[in-house]
Amino acid sequence: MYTTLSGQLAAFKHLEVIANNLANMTTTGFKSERVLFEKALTEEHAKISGGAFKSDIQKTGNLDVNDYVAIRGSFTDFTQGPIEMSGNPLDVAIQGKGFFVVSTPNGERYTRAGNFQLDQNNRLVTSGGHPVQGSSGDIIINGSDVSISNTGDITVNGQSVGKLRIIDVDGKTLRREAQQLFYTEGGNAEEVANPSVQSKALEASNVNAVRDLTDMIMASRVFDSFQKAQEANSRMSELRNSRVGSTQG
Amino acid sequence: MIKSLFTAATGMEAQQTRIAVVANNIANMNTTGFKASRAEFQDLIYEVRQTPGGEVASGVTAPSGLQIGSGVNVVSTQTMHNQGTMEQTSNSLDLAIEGPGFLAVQLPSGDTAYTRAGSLSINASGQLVNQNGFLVLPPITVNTQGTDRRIGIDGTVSATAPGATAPTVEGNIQLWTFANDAGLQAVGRNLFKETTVSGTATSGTPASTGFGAVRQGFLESSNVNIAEELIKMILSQRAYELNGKVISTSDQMLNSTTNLR
Repeated sequence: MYTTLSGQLAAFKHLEVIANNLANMTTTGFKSERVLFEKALTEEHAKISGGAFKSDIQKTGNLDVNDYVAIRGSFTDFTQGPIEMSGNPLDVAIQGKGFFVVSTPNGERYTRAGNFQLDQNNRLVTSGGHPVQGSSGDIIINGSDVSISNTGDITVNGQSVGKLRIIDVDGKTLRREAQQLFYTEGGNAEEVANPSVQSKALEASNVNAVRDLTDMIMASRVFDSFQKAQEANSRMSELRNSRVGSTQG
Repeated sequence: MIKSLFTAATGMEAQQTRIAVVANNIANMNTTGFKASRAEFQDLIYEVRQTPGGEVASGVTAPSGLQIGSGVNVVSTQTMHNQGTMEQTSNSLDLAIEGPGFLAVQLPSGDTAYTRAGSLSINASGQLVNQNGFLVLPPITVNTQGTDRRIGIDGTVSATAPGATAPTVEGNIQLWTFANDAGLQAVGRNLFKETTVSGTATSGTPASTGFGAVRQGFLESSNVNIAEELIKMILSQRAYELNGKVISTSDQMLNSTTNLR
């Protein structure tokens, strides 16, 4: 009874993660979230491993119904999103590893979304209004002829105004925030020595609609099969309740 | 469960907004001096259901947390101020700005608005006005009898009076620039208004440093890239459908839960 329930709860959670990925399939710099499943532990199994989960229990590869008993957690898929040319001089995409550094009231944050704009103080800011950080703090752009080289050097009307700070952090320590921002929990932010950026281009969302759609179908089918199991269980208890104690069978 | 319904709804709503922006761009693909806009998306807050590194069983910590997002919204529409293509016309009062800068016009309310659409004409009092009849600033009164009217790349308007042999200067067209063009507020009729984000307007002589040159006999056509807009439209439509699928899947699951016995 409770096994089927936990399976259904896992399918619910999986669908919630998929829903957020699909809602963000056209969000610049968005990274999809993936769910980590683990197989059901039979009571016996738990006894062998001393009541704890075995460390080798994480599964990779294709999911099957049996995986849907518990969700271990979720992780962010940091694979490169497609780079799309936009023609806007303040759009920048990172090719390969690294993140832009932005300053927010809560501290430094990292993002792959390079759809930058200027604010009223001519600072380069993200679409959420947070200042983008260069090698020496905020980047001020006074003038209309802006060009950003493929190493992140910014020139305005032929004069250098700074270099985009691009850092790399261990993806496992990154936590999500709204506005495509990430922060690190205990990870070391290291400057990327030779960053490769593309100006007048944006990194599109890396959501793979086909994958999320098939995952969604899977989640819904699994949900149905657990539903059937639940109903069978329920019928069995019904039978048991009506027959037990009845001497006439 | 209910959350995925709302998440998908934010996705559908955001795609609807993007289609509205795309529709306006496409509708204005032939509008002189029109600047395309784009919708900027951002993801919403994440709900941390399980802290990364938290204990899931005695002695075992979770390698990663469970972070569930709440969907997406359109944070802003950004106007793309890149140059539109120049189209030659035979009209001596058509002008295009090659490079940065806007013409200023006076609205009936007395406010100033800025535009890149340079199809000018002359009103009853002999002043240069834009296509809506709004006075071009600073006001330039021309000799309506004048012939062979020339507008130089520096904005000098001159014409030859009847009987005269040499042209006379009638005025100078000025251009205005902003620190942040994208911060201008579009108010319709190809006009933009200054905002706190755009910075204050700085006037200057056309073709001087930081200002574009004025090209007589040309018009700047819309900078809408139709292929790009169509691709956006297709993508938005598919994204809309996918989010709709999430809603129906959530609904099915919710339905079977309701019928559980």
